[in-house]
Amino acid sequence: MSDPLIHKTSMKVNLRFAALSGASEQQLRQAAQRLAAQGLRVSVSAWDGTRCDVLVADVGDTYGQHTVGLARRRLVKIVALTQAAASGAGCEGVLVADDPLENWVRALADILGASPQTLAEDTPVEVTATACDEGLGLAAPAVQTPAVLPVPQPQAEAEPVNVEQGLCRLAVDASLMGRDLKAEVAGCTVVLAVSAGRILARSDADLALVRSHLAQSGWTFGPVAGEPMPGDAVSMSLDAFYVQGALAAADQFPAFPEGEVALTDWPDLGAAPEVIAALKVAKKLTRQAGSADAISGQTQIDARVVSACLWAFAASGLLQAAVPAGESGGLVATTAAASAPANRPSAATAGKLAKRFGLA
Amino acid sequence: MELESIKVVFGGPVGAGKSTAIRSVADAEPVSTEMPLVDGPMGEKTTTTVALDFATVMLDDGPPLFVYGLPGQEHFEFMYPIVVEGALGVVILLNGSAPDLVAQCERWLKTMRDINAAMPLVIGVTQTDALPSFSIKPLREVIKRCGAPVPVFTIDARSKEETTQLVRALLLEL
Repeated sequence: MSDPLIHKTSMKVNLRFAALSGASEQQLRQAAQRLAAQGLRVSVSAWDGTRCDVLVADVGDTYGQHTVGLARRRLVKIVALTQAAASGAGCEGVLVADDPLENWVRALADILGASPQTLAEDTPVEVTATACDEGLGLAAPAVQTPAVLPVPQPQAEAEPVNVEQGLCRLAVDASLMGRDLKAEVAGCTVVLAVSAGRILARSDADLALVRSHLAQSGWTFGPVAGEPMPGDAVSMSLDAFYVQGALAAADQFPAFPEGEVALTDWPDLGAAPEVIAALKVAKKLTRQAGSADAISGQTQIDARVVSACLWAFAASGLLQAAVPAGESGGLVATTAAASAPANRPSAATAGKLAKRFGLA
Repeated sequence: MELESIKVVFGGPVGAGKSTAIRSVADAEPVSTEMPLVDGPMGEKTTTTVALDFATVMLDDGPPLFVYGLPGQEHFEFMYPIVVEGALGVVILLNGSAPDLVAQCERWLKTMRDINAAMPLVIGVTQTDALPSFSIKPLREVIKRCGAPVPVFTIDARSKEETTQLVRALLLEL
């Protein structure tokens, strides 16, 4: 980095948490307040996919693991919340769930490089302002603190994600990810039942209207409560719904963020037979982790189409960040390779089958 | 010149839509062994396959693809290895409204894996459109327990395109 801007300021740390229980979140906030006495101004908020300095995540939770995978890719410091101190290997720090507040304060101070001996309250430190774009291209803190928390610049970035787009919000907003939601756009209300892999609406016309707005802004989301839909509600695969909407507006979505991703479950694409590209992308990702560019190259599918598929799979909660196998809290890099089929057709016959069924 | 014989098999319990799906995907009316249900109609279903279904799908300038449908009743299970032998893969169809859907899924996965562990499988779940409470998650969990990922799609067996989607997924497994 040439000619960096140098500022004088007190130390500010942007800390995010994911998959914490209410009690753990409260203890984390209390610990962060105590750190102010050590010259650290720690801003605590839920993980939302944007740049931060430290992530505290429950690595025993699937969502927590997911955020750890993303954070690791972005070289964010990770603090594992565990039930036992030994189970946080591979992370920069460990917080044990049942430990008292004092232990958390001490552990966080160690991780953040602050202690009463090294930092007096309000001690000015040199920090370097960096470019704001990062993993998902979202908003970043105004000031970074590389002296304490080096956050190297990411690789060349794609265009910034427009988090107002309904599908992108569902894919990157931690407060929405993996949750059943009531969603409203263009005057229509639908239930996004991520836990069941279904979408419910009052009518097929509502489904079509909402699907046509996946690349638009103006969505509102809320929790599902009571009887969200009448008994005669229509429903369909949420995965197919997202894929159809994403591919219909593929040009309007930003490039999917760099980094390798994988699928451990097949998306339910039975109701989307017209989007064969999504089937091929899903097949690739269930076999092997890959980046959007790599998949595009391997399948010869337009990069915008691959990106749209990935946004759809991510919004469905099926897409997982791939990290090297064996790392703590890491998700699988690739799924189990299936055995070679016993009865392969000849190449010529395979080609004819592919042509007959629309795969060629 | 000896023609290569290729086939896919549709399996699954009674009432899952195997005969309907085969009719959807076949080029001509399938040969069926439909008989009236002994215990009376199951909803709109009045007949069941007592031996097997058979149909063909023509390929360009090549051998036809043979499509077989297994009978759903458990007492015909002895036929399964015979029919499945040499198949490219098996499409397992399940009735999404069946109260024992998950158990059926597990049973059919295990049955097919026992016959040939390397056999490509695809699962189609029918009759889910009128079931607002349907969830695909338990099926995905069963699939995970049973080994390598198997595509599971909700489909309308009457739809040629959606049934074809199952065959496509099967072909991608080859």
